[in-house]
Amino acid sequence: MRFPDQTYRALLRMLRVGRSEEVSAIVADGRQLLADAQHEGRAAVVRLWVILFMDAVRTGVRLDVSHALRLMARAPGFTLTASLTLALGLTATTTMFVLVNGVLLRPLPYKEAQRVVMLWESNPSLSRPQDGPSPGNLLDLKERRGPFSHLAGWSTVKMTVRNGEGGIPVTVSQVTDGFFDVFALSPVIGRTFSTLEYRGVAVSRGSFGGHEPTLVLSHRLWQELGGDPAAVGGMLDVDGRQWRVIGVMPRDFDMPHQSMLWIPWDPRAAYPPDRFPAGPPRDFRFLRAAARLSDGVTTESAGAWARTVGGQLASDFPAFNRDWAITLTPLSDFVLGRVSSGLVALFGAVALLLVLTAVNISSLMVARTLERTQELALRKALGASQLRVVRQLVIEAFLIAFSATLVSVLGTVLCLRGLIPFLPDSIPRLDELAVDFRVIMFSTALALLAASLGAGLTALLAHRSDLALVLKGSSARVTRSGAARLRGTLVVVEVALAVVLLVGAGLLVRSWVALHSVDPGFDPSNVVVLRVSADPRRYQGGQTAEYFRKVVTSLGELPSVQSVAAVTALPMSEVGANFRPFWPEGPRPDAPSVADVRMAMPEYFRTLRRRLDAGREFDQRDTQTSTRVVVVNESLATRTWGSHPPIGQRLVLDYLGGAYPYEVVGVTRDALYEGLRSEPRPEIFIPHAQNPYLLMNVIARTAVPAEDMLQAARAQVLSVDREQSVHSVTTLERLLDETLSTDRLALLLLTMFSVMGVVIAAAGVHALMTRTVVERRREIALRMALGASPETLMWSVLRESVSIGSLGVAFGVGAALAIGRVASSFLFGVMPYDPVTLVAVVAIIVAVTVMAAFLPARMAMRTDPMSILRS
Amino acid sequence: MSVADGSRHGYGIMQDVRSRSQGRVQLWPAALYGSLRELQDLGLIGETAARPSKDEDDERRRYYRLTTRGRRVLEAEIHRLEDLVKAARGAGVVARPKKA
Repeated sequence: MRFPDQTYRALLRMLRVGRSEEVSAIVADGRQLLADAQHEGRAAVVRLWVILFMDAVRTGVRLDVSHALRLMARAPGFTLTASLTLALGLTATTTMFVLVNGVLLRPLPYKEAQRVVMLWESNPSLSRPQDGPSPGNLLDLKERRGPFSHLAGWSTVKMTVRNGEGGIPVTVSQVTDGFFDVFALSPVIGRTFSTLEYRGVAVSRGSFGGHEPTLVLSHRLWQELGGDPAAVGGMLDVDGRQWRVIGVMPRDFDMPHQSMLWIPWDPRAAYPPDRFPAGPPRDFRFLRAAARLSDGVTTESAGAWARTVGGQLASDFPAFNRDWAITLTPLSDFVLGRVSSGLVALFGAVALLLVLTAVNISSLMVARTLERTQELALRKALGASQLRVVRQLVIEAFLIAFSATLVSVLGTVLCLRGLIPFLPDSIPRLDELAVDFRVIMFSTALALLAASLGAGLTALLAHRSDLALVLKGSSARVTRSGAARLRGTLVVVEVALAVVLLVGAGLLVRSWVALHSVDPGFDPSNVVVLRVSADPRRYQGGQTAEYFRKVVTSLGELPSVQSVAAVTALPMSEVGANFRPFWPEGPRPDAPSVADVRMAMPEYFRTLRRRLDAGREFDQRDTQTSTRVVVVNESLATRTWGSHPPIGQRLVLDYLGGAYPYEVVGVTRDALYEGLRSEPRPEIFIPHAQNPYLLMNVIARTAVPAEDMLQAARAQVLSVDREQSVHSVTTLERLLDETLSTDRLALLLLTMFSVMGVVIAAAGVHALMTRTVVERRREIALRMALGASPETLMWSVLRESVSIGSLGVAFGVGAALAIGRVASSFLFGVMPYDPVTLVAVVAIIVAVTVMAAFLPARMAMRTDPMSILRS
Repeated sequence: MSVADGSRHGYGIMQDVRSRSQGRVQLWPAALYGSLRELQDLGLIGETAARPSKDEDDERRRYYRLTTRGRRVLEAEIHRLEDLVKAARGAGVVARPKKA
């Protein structure tokens, strides 16, 4: 086989492995080696070619890299600034990428998750786009099943797992049959429920259909209980009842979010015919439901089926289902929900920061190339090819990118560790976040991209630097003015990007302030909250009311407790109120209004410091046998009776067990129940004594900080009846705070990004102005010699800097306004074009550019004209 | 070491290193010439004009030999390694070489 002399030689030349006589020697040796290899056969020859090729490439790159390293070591300031700036931007971006990748991009762990849809009932005329199906309608959907292979519903309740001494509060999902088939994920140990094990089970009624209670553990709870595989098959005490553990689900099974264990639920057993002659209710839309599409069924045809069935349900049961339709949404929308748009927006912000960093290192590299114009021109004159000069620049850029990547991967790990505790629980899949191969690849790719931008621009410059002219010195100026323009443009872009980030952060700050000045309608400070659920086997009807009366009295005996009450659904609590139709006394109208219904105990409004505008609170007068009474809120009163005084008015409320008239005894001011962003809704309160509920939020207003009272309060409630479950002991302030956790996170991150952006842009302005002053020192000296005062010169530098800043501000504000429309959904009480924010941003940027130019300006002022003009 | 006992050309060095290391170390030409250049720049080896007889020679080959400075560095390095090995043996870090 002939040795490919020419190819090998060309390769060595291209890589500049050695001088031409060395190349000849290498080729000769290569030929000799090949002659040796000929004896060993074809495979050996091919292997040798590969080795020689790799050897040449490796040597060539090594020489270039070591040359580049030497050059970079000679300019440590540049190398360090460029690498660290890039590392900073990369770290921020990579950290956000870990979040976005882990939470949004990674596919859901369920088999063919895209074939799973959520089923909703929606009623646009009541602006209820996504209510969960009611038990009655769910059963109908399950019976028809249509395009789905499996369809299941669920709801969550809080229970306590007793484990030795302490109790673990857990979120329990009650699921109907087919639940595990919908998600098609098998347990890691044991099994899930058999069809029989679902039948007749409704823990709220204490009914188990005559068989042993069974449950499936989440991986997390299983770990918390010791992670013993033998736990499967054993018994577990949940809310004072013994359950057989039959399986453990995989770690990443998180349906519904944060579910710790699953128990069977049979709607027919929950709503038995003796109490619900018309079957399970169709207008309690509190469930969640999901279904898996059968093979070959498209989402569109399933949607069409849902519309048809929704229409049938509405015409079959108009009293409950009129105007309600059945709609489908992808499972991923449900799981990722609002989180997704927030994360994407933050990722957009961090991408801006990365672009800013890339622009900044480009301008640094351009500046450095300018300093090296002579060197580059000389190298070209000495025979370095255009390609080789460019390659040198590219290698330098990539070395910077490489070191920045290393630093940023480390930085990302640290950032994540610091960030995760601040992330709200509402973000799904947080415990799965990790810096993995994909993340490192992402970071590397970004670094290379950023480096390419810099390398591309500098290569362009190097290309234009015409060597003969540069060497003569005459054209250096020409090239430089082009390059200076390029640098100026880059710095303007930097400032503009910083402005966009700053406007974003400013708007979030304004939203935050607006959110905090919202009056929720009650006073959240110093209120202890305890969720108490009474066991239905032990307490029924009047007994329940009695139990909670004792709980309230007992808590009231604690010193420093000022008042105590209880309610079914608290502001900010994850359990919503019941959403029921009502109308002013008279026949049921075609489309009755709806209101949130809550059961409250006496002193509820006083304890919450929710003002009563008229009438009275509930008190001892309101009993099971007294007149049915309600307290309503302002919104309801105004909508229903206009300016007529509502006290003494009667309304009919269609609640469990039928529609009865109630007398209005009090009107309370509106309160925001679902966080500070929510709107007040019509509310009706019923005395707990007249409709005793088993699950109550007990609240106690304290004279001392509520945080200090949590343990004592819990112990006091337990002292009434040790067997009853008391959990989620917290403060109202914390509950309120949790609703703001996403806003806080966004504010925190965006503020950090914008500060970083402003600092980098300021560094860019500073470097540019320093360079300008240095380049123009002769001109400055001349002007000084001609009598210009130092102040004039300083002003001229500052003016130039401010004009760059103003250009950046102009572009940045324009861009921010364009983007603002997208961001408006994240804002509260402030417009995307909020003038206060814009003015503040402009002021900050102008101040920062002036500060950044201050040192160079002083340098100009202190120029010694004589020494420069003489030199 | 390859060029200590006389001048050698690149291919010769490759062969020599291979046989000395019983085939465990194989140098390849581009890397080898890179190293030779570095050693030359450090003044440890030099190119010689002396060439073998015409019929054995290839005009493209380049011959290298150790310089005086190079020989001193080589000797110093060997002493250093000997001391290191001695110290290591004394500390019992390595076993005595097996007698063949």
